[in-house]
Amino acid sequence: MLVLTRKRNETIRIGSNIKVKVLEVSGSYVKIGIEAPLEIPVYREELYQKILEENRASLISRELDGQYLKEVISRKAG
Amino acid sequence: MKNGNKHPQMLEGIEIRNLVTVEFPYGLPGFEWLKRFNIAEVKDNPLFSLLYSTDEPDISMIIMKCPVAETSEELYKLVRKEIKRYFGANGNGVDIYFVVRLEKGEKKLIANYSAPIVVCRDRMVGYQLILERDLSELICENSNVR
Repeated sequence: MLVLTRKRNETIRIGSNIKVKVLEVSGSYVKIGIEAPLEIPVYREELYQKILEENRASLISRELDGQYLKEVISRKAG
Repeated sequence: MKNGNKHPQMLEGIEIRNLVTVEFPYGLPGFEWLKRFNIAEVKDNPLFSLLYSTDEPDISMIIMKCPVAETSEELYKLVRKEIKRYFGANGNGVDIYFVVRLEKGEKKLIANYSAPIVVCRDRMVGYQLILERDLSELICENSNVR
């Protein structure tokens, strides 16, 4: 991992079009601003990990009772 | 690992009304290497569909079409910014789905309202959004689906 030291209001540039700026440092918290092209998704890592785990948990298991699956996806909107 | 199957085994015996292939440029969280998924709409059921990878059909999940997509302005306001980011549009022609998890033991369905899957029907391109706010309150206020 590349480690860089920055002060408040200093910036890191990633590639030609992504900028990460240190906006505020307070105790153990750091507020950062990110400028990136709209099509580049930016997420908090813990949120991404949460969704990743939810997706994996949502996989239809091979062991799932086929009849149960049919019942489920045959349900109509309430 | 590719297994060469066209459809997941679970689809056997389920009548499919419509099958479309959607490109996911970033894959889905947890399955970033898979870029193409089929959405199989189940016959006589406008609510649930199956989403599965074209390359690894066993990577399959149940998705639920957003029940308020056509009516809830508030919901669109919430996701419009994200939709605009990806599609450069105001949300028209974009379908919203939620991944549903099966709790077999309790026979419960749990929808993940924090990460809607949005699909642009014209371009057949999709993304799974990750929202800071859980949409469940909005959904529950507007529909019978929990």
